Amino acid sequence: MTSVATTSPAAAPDSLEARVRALLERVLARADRQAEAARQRGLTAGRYAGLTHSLKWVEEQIGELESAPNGLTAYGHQLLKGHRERRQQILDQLQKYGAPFRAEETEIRKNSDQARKLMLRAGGVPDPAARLEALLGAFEPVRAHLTPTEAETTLPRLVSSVERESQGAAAGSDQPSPIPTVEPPPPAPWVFEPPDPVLFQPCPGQGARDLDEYRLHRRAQELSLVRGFDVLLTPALATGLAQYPHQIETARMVLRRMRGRALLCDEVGLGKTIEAGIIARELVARGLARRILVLAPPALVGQWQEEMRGKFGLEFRTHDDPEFRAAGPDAWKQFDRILASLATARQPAHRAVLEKEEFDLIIVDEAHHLRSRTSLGWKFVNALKKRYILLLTATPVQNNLDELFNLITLLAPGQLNTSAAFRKEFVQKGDPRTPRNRERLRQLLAEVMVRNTRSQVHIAMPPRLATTHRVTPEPEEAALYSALTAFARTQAGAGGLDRMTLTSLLRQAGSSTDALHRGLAGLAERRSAIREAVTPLLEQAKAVQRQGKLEQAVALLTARGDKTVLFTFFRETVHALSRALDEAGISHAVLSGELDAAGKDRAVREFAHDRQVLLSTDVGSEGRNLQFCHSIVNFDLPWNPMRIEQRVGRVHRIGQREAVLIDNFCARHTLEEQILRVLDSKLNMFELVIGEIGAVLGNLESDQEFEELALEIWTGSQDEAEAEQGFDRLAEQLLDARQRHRQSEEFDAALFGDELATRPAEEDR
Amino acid sequence: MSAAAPDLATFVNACIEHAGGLAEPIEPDLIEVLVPDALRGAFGEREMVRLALDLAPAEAHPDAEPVLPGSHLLDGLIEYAGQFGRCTRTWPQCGPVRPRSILGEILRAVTFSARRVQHSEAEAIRSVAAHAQFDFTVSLVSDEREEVLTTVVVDLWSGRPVEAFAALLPGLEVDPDGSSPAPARVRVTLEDAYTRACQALQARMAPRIERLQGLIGRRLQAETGRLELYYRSTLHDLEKRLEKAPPDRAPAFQEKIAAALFEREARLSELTTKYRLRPSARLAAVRTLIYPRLFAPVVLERRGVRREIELCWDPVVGRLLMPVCERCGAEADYLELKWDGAIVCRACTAQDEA
Repeated sequence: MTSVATTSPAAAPDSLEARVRALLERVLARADRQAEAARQRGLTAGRYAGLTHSLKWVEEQIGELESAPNGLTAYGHQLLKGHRERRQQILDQLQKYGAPFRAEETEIRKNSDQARKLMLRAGGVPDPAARLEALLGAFEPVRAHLTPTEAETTLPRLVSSVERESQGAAAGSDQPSPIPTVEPPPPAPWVFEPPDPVLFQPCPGQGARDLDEYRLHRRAQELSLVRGFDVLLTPALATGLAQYPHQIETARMVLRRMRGRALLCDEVGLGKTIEAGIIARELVARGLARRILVLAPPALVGQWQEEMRGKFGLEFRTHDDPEFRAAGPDAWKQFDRILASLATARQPAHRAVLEKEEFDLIIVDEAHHLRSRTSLGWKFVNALKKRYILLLTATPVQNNLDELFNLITLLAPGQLNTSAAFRKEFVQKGDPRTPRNRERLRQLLAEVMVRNTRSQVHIAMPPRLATTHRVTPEPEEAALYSALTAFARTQAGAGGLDRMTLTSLLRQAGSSTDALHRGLAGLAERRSAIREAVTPLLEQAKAVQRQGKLEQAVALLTARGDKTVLFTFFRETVHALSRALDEAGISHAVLSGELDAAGKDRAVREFAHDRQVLLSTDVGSEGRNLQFCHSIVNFDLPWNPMRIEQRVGRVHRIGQREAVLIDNFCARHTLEEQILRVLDSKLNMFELVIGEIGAVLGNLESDQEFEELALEIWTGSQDEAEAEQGFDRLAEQLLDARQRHRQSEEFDAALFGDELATRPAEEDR
Repeated sequence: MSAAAPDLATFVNACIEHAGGLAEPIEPDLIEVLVPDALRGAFGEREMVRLALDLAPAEAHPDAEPVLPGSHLLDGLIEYAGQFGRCTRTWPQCGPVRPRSILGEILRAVTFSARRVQHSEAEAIRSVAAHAQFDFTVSLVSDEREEVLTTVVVDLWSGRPVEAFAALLPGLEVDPDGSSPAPARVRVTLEDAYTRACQALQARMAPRIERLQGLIGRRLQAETGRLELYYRSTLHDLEKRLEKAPPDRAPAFQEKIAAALFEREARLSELTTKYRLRPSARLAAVRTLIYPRLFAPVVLERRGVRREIELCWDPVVGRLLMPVCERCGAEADYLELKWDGAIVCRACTAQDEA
């Protein structure tokens, strides 16, 4: 038996070549065993010669006896019979062993020797792909010795792998063959914008003025040039878009060093949204991004829309916008900037459209929902076509380091190698939460991840002191609210009025009778079908003479005397409050969406200068910084906690030196009272770190917005007690979400420390 | 680092003054402006406004509006300034139009291969000609955007781009009160000159594009390498598992392999799209530069063939505009009169002889 070196020294133990060789060796070993068996059962030469000789002799004897001229004696017959039996025995023996002398063994050995020769020859082929092809050729002589499984499954698979390899289709290679040199794609053909025909018309020529104007124009052109990412086009700090230098640095680092693909993991409250907004605006301003998709938890979609619009001038459509809905499935193609919840976007119908679209930038807020590679969300985002991608989460790792690997792989496949290699190199055996090779891991992460911490950016914000004023409504007010609740429950149960209308009515009722009256009047006018049901409510609203909340708010403002911003959502409430303040002799300015920009400026200036109170709607105060006062009143309560946070944020921001006083008003036995109970009493929302409420809502295991959940509980309950139980359950969910968030935050703080923060600009250069 | 461009203050002041407003400096990079009517829209209909022209005063004076790259106020001013000066005329100041000896200049600059070359000082005439200056905003977009403002000057007499003139533009002195009749020596329309300017622009930007391609190549190589290694390893793992898998699990692995291959292609394609350089240009302004030049006729004769050509002395550039070979179109310092009357350069002559 020939002995050969069966593995190429270069072949890695688990490489394709090693696997081909292993199979071949198995087959050869089997062939050897079969040859040996054939040898053992095969006839020796002497025995074969003896048998054939005996056969010949016996047949001669039989022939002589059969041809005896005088017939046979009895002995002769007995002898003939004996010879015939002997002949049969010999024939049986020869039949049994079949071929002549060791033919089977010889054949097997010849074939396996040939296979071994081919194998040896293949070992000398330098090109790995050609070597593999040659090795496969070695199977040919010993094909008969393959088992059925090997013949039908294993070998064909190996063959197809080898074919892929030789076609350069990146199948596993024996030695990691060098990455081919990549030539940059040839530049696209030049595009010359059609020039304005005016430029070619004869100009009269005005001497010095011509020259001045030409110079002015030229300087304007120079100033409007885009100069690379070193200087951002968004002077975010100066224009109030950003509050902290680290936000600018992060944006610059992501754009310049990370080439627009990054995991933003700042601790809560440090402005990941702002950073993403600056990056998005920079890309848009430079013409590098037109199509943008933002995926956020349902509760944060509205917040994103407002921030992008208010702070960055980027108008986004949400999947809830009427125009978006009206456009049907084409909406995803039709609008360039889209905001949607991940849950909505990944629905099969939407997913099918989105996966075909090409996006310039994708932003995923609360990206820890993509921690699992087997989740629909991860697969969906991975399948999207995108040039730039930002993943935002304060808590990238919750359970194990695989989650980090999965998030990074979404951004930059291969940054942390493959999953198995990552675990081998960076995860402590038996402890999936503990990293090893920390320094190397940190280096790799620093190329795609930013994590600023509060301790590094030295945020020292004054505290927020919240007081809840539960006002007992006047009897006619209480009756009106009860009647409205009953009406809303009936409508919700019967599928009458839609969710938005019901929300609007109940929020108006929670604000003031004036707001509700207008809402009901509008409804009665628009919907003749329910006019009959609405009319009694309208009559009740008209009959309300005194509003307890309004009187108490005026009393509070009178007593306080300090500058205070009073927020309400509805203009009618602003007007009612304005009248009440006039009567009480409290100076005030009004800031509402009805005013143009100059009017709003004037209102803020008046307030800053000599007015005690600023009556502001949420819309009116968008983008305004009012940190020169430190007291706010939530006269009515937005159902979305993020909106409450926004109101507080108008005064509780950088530059604020005083503790911020927050007075929340709600009437007893109303939906707002329940929301306040959940947010303030149970969740201690006003004591959370700024931004934490967003993270908590992002962790809420629900595809619905908070407002929807609140409405469902309220209208789906028979009475207040049942509603209270519902809100208790919601509070439990929120507390769970907060708990999960805090656990992850602690873990991530221990895992990453301060090592992945933005560095000062100079160092970065 | 200051985000403000060095000449931002000059620009802001110039805009305000051009519009008829008044800008009063309060402290460095902080001005108070009496807003002219033409700029009211950009300034939110305010009459008086404080402007901070750098980050530091913007932070120190919250009441001041920042005018910095990217701010809506600066955008407004840029928009305002962009309306003017897009199509203008300028009269560059030039010294004596006639050099000491035009004949001497011609002979110094060009060698003629002809039996007779006739030219005379007296026949050289002074005539007003023009250059067209095209200001292009060039954008080079890959995964980043780079913009430059670049100028191409085309001689409206010869129709050729004049690089030497473009180089002089930054220090070019012009007559603020200049005026003259329409230039007489114009043989090329502005539209034609623009077409030639576009070609010249592409040629001028070619080295820059090549450099950028090198940079892009390095980035692309790094990213492609990472992706290639990742997908190779992934596919390798999947194939190993496929081989070991029982037959009923094999299709699942085959699907995974197909998906990984598809994903790999998609990622590589994304990279190519992201990094492909896309050059584009927009004509921002056209300026006609008018001044007199000296045109000298030269007569060449050879074996009964006679040709007259006109050479031009440019007093601003201070040299003769080189004639061009009638065959290859290149500027030539040697001209040979051929039997068919063509005037060709040395290279083309050598080619003929070969």
